[in-house]
Amino acid sequence: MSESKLWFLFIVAALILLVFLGIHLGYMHLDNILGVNDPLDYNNVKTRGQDTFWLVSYLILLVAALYHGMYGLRTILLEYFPQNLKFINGLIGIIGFLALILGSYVVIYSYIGG
Amino acid sequence: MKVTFKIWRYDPAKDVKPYFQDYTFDVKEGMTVLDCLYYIKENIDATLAFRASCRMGICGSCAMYINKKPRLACETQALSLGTDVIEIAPLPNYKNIKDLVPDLTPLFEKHKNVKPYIIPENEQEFINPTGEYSQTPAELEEYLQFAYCIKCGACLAACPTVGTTPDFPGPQALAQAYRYNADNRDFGEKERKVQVDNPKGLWRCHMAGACAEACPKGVDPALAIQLFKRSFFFTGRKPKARLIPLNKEKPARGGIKAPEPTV
Ligand code: SF4
Ligand code: FES
Repeated sequence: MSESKLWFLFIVAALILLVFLGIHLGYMHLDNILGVNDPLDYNNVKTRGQDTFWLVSYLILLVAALYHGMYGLRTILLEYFPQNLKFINGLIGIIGFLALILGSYVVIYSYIGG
Repeated sequence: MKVTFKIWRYDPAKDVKPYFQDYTFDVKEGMTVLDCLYYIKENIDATLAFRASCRMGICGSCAMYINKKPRLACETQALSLGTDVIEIAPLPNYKNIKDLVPDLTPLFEKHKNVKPYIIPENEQEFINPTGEYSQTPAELEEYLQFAYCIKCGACLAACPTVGTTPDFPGPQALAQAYRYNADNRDFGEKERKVQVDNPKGLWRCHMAGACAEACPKGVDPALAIQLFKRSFFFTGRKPKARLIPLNKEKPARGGIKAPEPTV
């Protein structure tokens, strides 16, 4: 993929983050204002995990945050090691993929009632 | 006022390492840093090497690192720096040829790479022009400030990305690529985009803005880079420059007349 497309996706991911991180943070931290009943209580966390809206929103958040963060990390590494493009791309790809598998496993596992 | 000039000295033929040499003399009001360097060369030490030509901020030869900032020596009043010790070194981010002379080859190579010239739609028209292209003041404004670049290289010396990624085209070349893309006589946008859309290209700029700060001509390469980035995703249709056939359009009555030829 061309650099311009990678960068474009990075910006799109930032916009997605703004929305979904906003929902997440609002729900978790403005609980008093929004009248949410103890969002960190175990049972509430579990119920949320089994809700399709939260499943989808967590997955979107995960993908967007991972892409945005990994692109940023790649930029920093490229700055330090500009000659090692292939290695850095590979490394970032592998770390990102593993984190995606692990993150989706947690979200999906709790959705199906684990 | 007595001023001490701490000047970077390095002769690769005999020095192992660069060092600073001090020269102290009376600086008169009105003397630029370049005047002071000429004073040193003519009266104190003829071996000092530096580059200059026009002495009026036009040729871009005399850019150097004065009191830790890239500036044109011919445009910097020595006393206006407000210090009685003035440190002068060659521009950073370039190889040092001798004393204050940097090797500007990368600057010009990068500049050449982005095809800094008008790429016409109709090449034949450019080779054998049948008319002249019109451009409204608004169309000229699109690129005018970027056309003021004198290729002094100060912006590359200030750019942190050039410091870490020597292959990064740098603010000068990117601003010039944008300058031609924004010109409505030009059709080379695609070719230039290919040149800069790579892992070491345009997207490595992290908007430090140091280039805009350093530029002695008021060009804002950081702005050009942001506009260039925008043009990748929002490509508004560029108005085509109109070809006015030669001698066909008569000037409006009472309009401005061409000057009479002078002897
Ligand atoms: S953009 Fe400004 S600082 Fe950079 S080379 Fe051109 S005139 Fe010099
Ligand atoms: S001598 Fe030409 S710009 Fe300074």
